[in-house]
Amino acid sequence: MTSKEFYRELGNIDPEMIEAAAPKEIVKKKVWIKWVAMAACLTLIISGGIILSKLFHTPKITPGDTSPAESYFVITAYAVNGESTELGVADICFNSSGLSKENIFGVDMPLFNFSVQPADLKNNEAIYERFEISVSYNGTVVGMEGKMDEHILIAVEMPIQGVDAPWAYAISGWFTEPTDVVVTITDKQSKEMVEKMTVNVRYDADQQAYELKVTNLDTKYAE
Amino acid sequence: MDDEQIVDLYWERSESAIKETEKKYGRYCHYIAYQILQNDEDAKEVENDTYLKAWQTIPPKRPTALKPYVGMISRHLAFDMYEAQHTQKRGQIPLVLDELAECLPGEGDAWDVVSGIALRDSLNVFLRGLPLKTRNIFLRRYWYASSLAEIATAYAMKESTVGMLLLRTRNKLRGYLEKEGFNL
Repeated sequence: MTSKEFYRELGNIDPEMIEAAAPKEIVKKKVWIKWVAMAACLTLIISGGIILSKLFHTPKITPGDTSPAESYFVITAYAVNGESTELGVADICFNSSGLSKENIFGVDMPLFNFSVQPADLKNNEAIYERFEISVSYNGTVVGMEGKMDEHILIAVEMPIQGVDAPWAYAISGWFTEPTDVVVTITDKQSKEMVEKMTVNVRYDADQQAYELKVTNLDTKYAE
Repeated sequence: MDDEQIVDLYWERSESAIKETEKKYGRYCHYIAYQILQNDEDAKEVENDTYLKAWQTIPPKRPTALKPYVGMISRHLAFDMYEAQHTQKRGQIPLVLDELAECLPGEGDAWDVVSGIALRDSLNVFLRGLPLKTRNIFLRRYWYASSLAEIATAYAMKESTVGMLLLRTRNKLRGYLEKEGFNL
């Protein structure tokens, strides 16, 4: 078969999927949320030539764009390779109904054991928690899930392929009131819990930003 | 007017069926054709041929979703024209075809209608198994022939991330087709 024939056969898939993928005329839903990295936490962990960096950001709500009740936060982690080239970004986002999930993984990453250590809040002006993430390769598959508002289930599976770089994760949510997000990371093969933490998310109207605080952490890989 | 109402017009053999289709899906069909042909005039010709084909096929067909129905017609007609022209090196199609070639396992050259149906069914299963956004991005690229830049803008991603996502998915598709026993 030639690629032209394959291209034609691809044309005959389920109409429902064709329609869902169609270009949208309406501006994409994320545009009205302005992401501002209000502070960045950069930690270099050098281990065997691998450099790990993380960047967390929370959205700054622009007055008039939306009400806090309609906003959502994202903690996004970036994976880099030894040359500090960004390999992929994970965002997990929810739409206004709160019942659908989307995830984007730009690249397959090998699974590493990883731990999350809540850092101290940088005085009361800090608006989000810092996560220290250290990784070591073990080759197992991990799933991650969390709950928010008891209505939304976050489930993200991180596929594994042989890209030699550390990986982190992201969670996000949509809420209207102070909320505890429970993030549980489990090993998909053994079904054992690897990490579990509770992240309290609160919207600060004065700061027009979200405050995140890890309140509980149970980890198998604490350092 | 919703799709059911427009399809009813076709069944009633009312010429306003075409007018309504053009109003609702003209830009969509034009986009699909233009991405393939990179020529406004040719895209317009395909668009008009799409309406004709829809008129000829409805009835007996009664598509429940008119958008993908006319979209598929436009895509096929546009690609027919592309192949007939066979000199065009512009636009996304040459790149799309090169990329899709990576998904083809094996060296087989026997292809028939039965194989086509089996492949279509397997593609449906594969695509349904993808995360929604990955699937949509894959189809934006290989069904709609959208450029990486366009996809990146639409999904608020970097072009490089879109490229890597597509590469990963193509590899996955190849593995899947091999496992399914397709020797393409």
